[in-house]
Amino acid sequence: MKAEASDAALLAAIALGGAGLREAERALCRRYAPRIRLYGLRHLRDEEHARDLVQTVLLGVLQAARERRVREPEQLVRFVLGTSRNAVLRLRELDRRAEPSPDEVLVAAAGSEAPRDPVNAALLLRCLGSLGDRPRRVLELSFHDELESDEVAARLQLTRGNVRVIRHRALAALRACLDAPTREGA
Amino acid sequence: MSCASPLSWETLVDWWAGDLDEAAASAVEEHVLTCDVCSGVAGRVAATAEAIRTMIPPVVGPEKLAGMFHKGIRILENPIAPGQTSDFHFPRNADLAVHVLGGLVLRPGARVEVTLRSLSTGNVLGHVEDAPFDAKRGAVYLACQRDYAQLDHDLVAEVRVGKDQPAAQYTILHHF
Repeated sequence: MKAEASDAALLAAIALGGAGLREAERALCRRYAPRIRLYGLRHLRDEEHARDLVQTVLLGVLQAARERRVREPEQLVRFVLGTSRNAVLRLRELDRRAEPSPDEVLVAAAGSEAPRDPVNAALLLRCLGSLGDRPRRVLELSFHDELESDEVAARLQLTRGNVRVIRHRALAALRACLDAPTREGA
Repeated sequence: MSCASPLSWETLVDWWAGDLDEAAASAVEEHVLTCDVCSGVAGRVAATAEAIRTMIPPVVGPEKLAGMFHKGIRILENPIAPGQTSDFHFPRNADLAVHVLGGLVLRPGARVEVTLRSLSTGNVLGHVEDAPFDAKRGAVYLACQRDYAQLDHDLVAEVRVGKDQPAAQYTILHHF
């Protein structure tokens, strides 16, 4: 199996330009797109906005790598994180899209390769039902109603610490339940 | 592929739920950006939490229903009276069917409990302790999705308004 190029090797290839440029850029985008999407979902709670963030950040990364402003892997991580933070702030205020440039098309393709995990509604209902009332309510209030832990605790007459422990276990149990048919079918 | 200092499931769940302070959250984010192993686990946390965030609950309130309608979701209503049996064919041209469990006297602030059972097995398929409702219309909205074809098709919805009142029953025989 061909080993994946390191971030340092990809940055060097992009800075060098030439025949390997596009492939190195594509590899960098593939590597970082799912991670940036995750950051975007965490902060924006919206799939479309998370994809917008992936595009915005990767465009900035490619530009900086081509101009050799980012040469070391540590610089790259700081650049990605910093650009992501700024872009999240902007995306919260703006909700507009520009006409895609060729670079945007390239990074959009990488973004669309980011993993998706569509969950069957019936399976989700069944798995949530199997958790028991309290764990199910903690998950629903935390993630569907997006209440903070203190609010969940107040609603369910629990401590904040209880809410966190119940949430850790319930989310793991839910994940295991959602994955179970896949394992059985494998 | 390995990680010298992997983030725990608990830490990643706390991060996703917004339960870490700013410094700890930043440290998690930096690590997740650089680590294949931990970004994979974080992806599983995220996918599970996102499934809950984006799900359509089995019982929905009028505001949520209106929001889904405005997003372009094609909704078909199926009104049912208490004690009635509805032979329901899920339409091809709808994304969501809403069984309108009507004929209820619902005052604002009322506590409504909904239990969903399989008619044939008696198994409880879902239970909502403090269900949303439409007081003006005197109805509870039961959201039915095409994916529910995997569940038992014969359903009894019991709606109880207040602890001491008898439950109104609605029977729905689904055809997907």
